[in-house]
Amino acid sequence: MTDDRALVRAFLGGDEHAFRELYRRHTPALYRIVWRLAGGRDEDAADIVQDVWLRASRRLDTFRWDAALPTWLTSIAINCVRERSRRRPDEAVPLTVEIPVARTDHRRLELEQAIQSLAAGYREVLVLHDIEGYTHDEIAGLLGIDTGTSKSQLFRARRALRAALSDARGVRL
Amino acid sequence: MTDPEDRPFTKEEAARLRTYPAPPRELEDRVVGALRRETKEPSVESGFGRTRVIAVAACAAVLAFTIARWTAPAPVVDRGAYLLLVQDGPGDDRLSAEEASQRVGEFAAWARDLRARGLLTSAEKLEDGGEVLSAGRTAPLTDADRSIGGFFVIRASTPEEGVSIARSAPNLRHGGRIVLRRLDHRTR
Repeated sequence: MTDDRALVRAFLGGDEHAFRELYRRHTPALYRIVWRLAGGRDEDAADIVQDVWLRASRRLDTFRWDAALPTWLTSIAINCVRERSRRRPDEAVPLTVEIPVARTDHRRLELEQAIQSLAAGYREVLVLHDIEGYTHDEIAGLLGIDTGTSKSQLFRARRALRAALSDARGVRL
Repeated sequence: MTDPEDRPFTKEEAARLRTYPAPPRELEDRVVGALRRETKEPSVESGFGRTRVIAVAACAAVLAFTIARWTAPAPVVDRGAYLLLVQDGPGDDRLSAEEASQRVGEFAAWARDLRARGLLTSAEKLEDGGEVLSAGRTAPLTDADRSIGGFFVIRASTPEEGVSIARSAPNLRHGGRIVLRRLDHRTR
């Protein structure tokens, strides 16, 4: 498998196939993160992911590879999501998230709605750490916070998520 | 049934959460199409290396300043010095070639006027790259950091004049910002 650097070099040289390979390799995780951080709406997530790739393409020639490419793309995505939410401060959290689930997959719907109910800062840390597997050091760099703050935010996020899940079920976890 | 690491969901549930949602199939062609449209502007490079309008305008200001400095007399009035940080407006990195050219012309004319009036001390363009340093960490520029394309140092006899000069900067008409700060010479 061609590594990211080689694909980026080829893309910078005008190779569209190289870009499509980069896109296919990194967009699934990008889309998931954006979708969960931006309110669980497909249309918004698609708009933001497009914006992420456009911004990334403008800066790839100066990217110093001091982080992994997906981490860098995630940092751009987080900025895009935050900018969007600043432009739309009154947008309410959706009552239902747009995921096609089997009628019996209540747990999945429950989890997604509980994740969406979290405050933005909690949601960012929980999604990045517990779902996408970023370390606290990486999250600190992505969110512009200290590692200690990332850990304490995750503790509070997990507690808030448990509360949201127990509210949804009406039982104490 | 929670993870022993105190997650509110299990590792298996986390793994399932990583399997969806998948990006819509049509998004790939949509993104590629958007990139192709960006490369259609003949004077603007795609993605990386795109020259910010304000950076180009600041470069024009430097040129105007450099050309004028050998003909215009140095100002003799003792004036306060002010720093003007020039920030892009929304969409400034998506201008057409014609729009970009117009903006450059506006800035160059503004800089020449300042110099002719004895108000311009210096002007510099900033490169696109850079980094943010803090204790133990180096981070990439944020969009806000990157939006600063250049700076001017002007002289004004009063703070009100400094504000008036800054308000005449052409980027303000296009949604940009000027950060105005007075230089503090008391520490010299």
